[in-house]
Amino acid sequence: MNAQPDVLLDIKNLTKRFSKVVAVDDVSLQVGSGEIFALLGPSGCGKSTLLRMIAGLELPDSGDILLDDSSIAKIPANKRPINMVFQSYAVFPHMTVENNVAYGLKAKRVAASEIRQQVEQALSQVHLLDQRDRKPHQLSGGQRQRVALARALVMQPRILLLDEPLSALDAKLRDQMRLELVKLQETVGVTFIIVTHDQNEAMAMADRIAVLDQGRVRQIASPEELYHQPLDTFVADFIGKINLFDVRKVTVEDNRVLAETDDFGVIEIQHVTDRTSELLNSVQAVVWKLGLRPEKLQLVANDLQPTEDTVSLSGELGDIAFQGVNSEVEIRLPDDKSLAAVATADDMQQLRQLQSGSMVNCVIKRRDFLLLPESADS
Amino acid sequence: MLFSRNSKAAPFDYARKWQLKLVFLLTTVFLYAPIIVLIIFSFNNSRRGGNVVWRGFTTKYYEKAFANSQLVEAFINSLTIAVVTTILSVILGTMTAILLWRFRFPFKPAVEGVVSLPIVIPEICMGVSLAMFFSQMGWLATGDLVWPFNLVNITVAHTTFAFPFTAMVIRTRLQSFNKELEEAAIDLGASTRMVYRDIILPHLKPGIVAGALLAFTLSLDDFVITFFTSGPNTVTFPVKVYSMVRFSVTPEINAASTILIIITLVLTALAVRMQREPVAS
Amino acid sequence: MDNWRRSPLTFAFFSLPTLGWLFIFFLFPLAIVWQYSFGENTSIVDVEFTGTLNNYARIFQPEILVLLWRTLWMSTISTVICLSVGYLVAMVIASASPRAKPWLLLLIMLPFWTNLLIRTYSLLNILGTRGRLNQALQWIWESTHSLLQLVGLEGLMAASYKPLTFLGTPFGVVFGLVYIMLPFSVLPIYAALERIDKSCLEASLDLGAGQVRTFFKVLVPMTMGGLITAAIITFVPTLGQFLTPDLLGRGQVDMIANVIERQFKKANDWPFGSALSLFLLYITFILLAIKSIHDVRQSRRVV
Repeated sequence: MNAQPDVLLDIKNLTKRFSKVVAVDDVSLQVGSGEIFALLGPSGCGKSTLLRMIAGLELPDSGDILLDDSSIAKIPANKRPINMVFQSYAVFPHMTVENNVAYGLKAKRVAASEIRQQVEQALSQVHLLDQRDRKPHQLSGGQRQRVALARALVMQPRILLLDEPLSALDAKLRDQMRLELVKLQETVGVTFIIVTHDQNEAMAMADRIAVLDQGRVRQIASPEELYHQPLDTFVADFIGKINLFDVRKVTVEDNRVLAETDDFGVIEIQHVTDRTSELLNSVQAVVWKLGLRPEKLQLVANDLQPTEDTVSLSGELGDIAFQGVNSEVEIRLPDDKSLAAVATADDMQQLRQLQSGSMVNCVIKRRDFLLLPESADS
Repeated sequence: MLFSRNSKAAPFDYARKWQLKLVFLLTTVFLYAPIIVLIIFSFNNSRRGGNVVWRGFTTKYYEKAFANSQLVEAFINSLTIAVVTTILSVILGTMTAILLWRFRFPFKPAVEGVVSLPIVIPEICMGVSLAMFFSQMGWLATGDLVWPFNLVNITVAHTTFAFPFTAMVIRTRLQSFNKELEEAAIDLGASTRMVYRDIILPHLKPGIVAGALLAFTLSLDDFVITFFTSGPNTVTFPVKVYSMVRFSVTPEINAASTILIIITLVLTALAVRMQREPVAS
Repeated sequence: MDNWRRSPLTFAFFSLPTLGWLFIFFLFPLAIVWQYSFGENTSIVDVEFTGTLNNYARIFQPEILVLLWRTLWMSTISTVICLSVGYLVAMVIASASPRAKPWLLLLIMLPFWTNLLIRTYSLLNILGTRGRLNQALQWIWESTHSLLQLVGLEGLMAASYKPLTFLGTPFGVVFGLVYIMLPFSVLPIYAALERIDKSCLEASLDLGAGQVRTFFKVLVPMTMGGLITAAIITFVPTLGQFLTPDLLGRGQVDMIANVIERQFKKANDWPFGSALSLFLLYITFILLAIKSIHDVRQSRRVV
């Protein structure tokens, strides 16, 4: 994990149980000042519980939460300098937009004149100044979300927590709001922690992402690193698509890591992650897989002799899903396995002459293979 | 929407079947005819209360009813009791609803059962038990106290059977409460007290209004429990009317009843309006 | 939901006044009744609590049993009528247009909000010997008679109508009970009808079942929960009715509540009155238990 120069929030070994279910299991992570940090995982992975513990809405069973090096674990939610945008937005239905935004300041007993000014500023930040006297039911879903944003930002929190901020919006509004949120974060400079189950959303917005599964952190990294150097099959599969191949044996010779496969013979692994070397050095029994991103499968029209750096593969052409610039192509291998490949527009020109079921060849660069330990449950 | 109008599957469009329409019509007539006859005959210029033959229009029985100081006193008593019962029921009902909605505690199912018991047990059982209770405590003597303290035990009795109804109505309202609203308020720095004052109570307002109207009507309506818990000197409107009916049927009773029916109508209209307002706005 | 231990002060704030009130003014009075039901009158005013079961034994005296039996069958008949008519009325409301629905419901419920005493009193005018019902019957009788006269069959019925007696008869009391309880029984049936899935009815018709068959084999079973609720909330108050038999029965069609009232207001036999009240209460509990057993079974079936 990249050491952050300026750690704002430091979560140490946090655990939370609900009766017998462990929602958050010994989670440690650090969030830097001014970054957009995403908690990503499937539903029930504990990301929301983690967020609620940061907000103070749940109390941890063990572990500690440090903000600026001092523990806030015992500070009640209404005293923490952390605010939240709720999944349902939780805009108070009986108050006007203005009173919603002013609520926190009133609770803090800020002087009335100052409240006015700060509310005005917050509302203009989210472009809602002309809606200030409206009631929430007169607003659209997107506008309600802005109210929730303004209401939290006006408190000048150290951290803003966003629980599935885009899930209740329709697709078009979602893209727009995604951009706006990033812009807003740049303007106000507040650290954002976003909970989401949508990997695209996390990849597009976050500086760093923590991938969670079953209450545990799988990997914390930048979007690029997550994509190109996933630590295990779960992360690789959750972040984008991946083709997995069985590995018979992994050996280490002269610091070279070699994976023996049925499909391609012996492959030397170029990028060995810390976790991989750690596992290779341990006595633990690990099931290894070779992973390959679909876009690393290059479709070729005619037989191309593999060079030293490449391996080749052939199979039947399956379904083609047109997705704009690129298309996703299914390739069926003789052993009934199917692979996902990405075809560019140029490839498509050639593929168009082929019918479903005809043979195609693929070339794969040896260095594109990823060596992944299989996660215990996937 | 079930049985919607536009569906051409006519077999279940029960509202359009003439046989069923007729049943509905006859039921309505059955329910309203006695009351309408009562109202009409409150204007009948007949000395006898038998109200058999129409003898011309008069409002003199209204004048008589208003001049009947005992009847007026009973009426004022009833309204006083109803108002105090409503206030107490709203307070206790809201607290009960929140208690059962918010907390997990030992013997909760038993407590829930006890709370709903006054709703289901026969009125006469409650009347009897409260009568015996007041007599044991020596509280029947409140009848000798100065007004309005002579109404204390009737009010206590009414509150006891009315507030579980209020609690039920408010609890239904609470079920639609979005817990994130409360968390949002806490997140913004609100104290427990502020959460109740600023977030939960405003959400409950329609439920409280409905519960209040229900408590008011229940109190104004009650005869049996009042009949048992009132002393000889404290009389509510229904108890007074009862004794008048036992004595003899007069048009005066019709007049007094009509006034009460009109009050009920006004209250119902209010309730309907209040329930519609949030939708309209 | 919070555990009460997490915020004991808030919990105390909400629980002490409410549960305290219920304890003092509801449970404690019931306990007094319970205690009295095991007591004996030693003089006109004094009662000694001897733990005797005599008061309960007295419920099974022939003259009380007659009353109990009457209470039971009159309540049953009233409930059956309320449910049958109420079901049809609820069907009309449930299938009306969304705009009309609340108004139709209000139309049926409005009389329920009117004072019970006034409603019972208003029936005196209807059910009297010279009341509206007899007037209507007389009109029908005489019209029929003149019709028959036209075809020369006037000999079939007497020319003059002899008014029927309703007040002081079981018919009058049942009439009154139905009048009072009908709006109440519509509500749960209506709620149940609103909940059911219309496609089941269509499926039944589609599979060849007729209207009547669909009604009894699909609609009624699917709304059974609502029907049972309606039956209980109609039957229980009917069992304990005091006013209707008192005013419309003229003391000749007493029900159990009238006997209870007499023990307190006239006979001054509190122990026996207490035993009778508790007996009524026990019947209520048994009915509620049956309902909750049905509910539990129903929810299991769904799971």
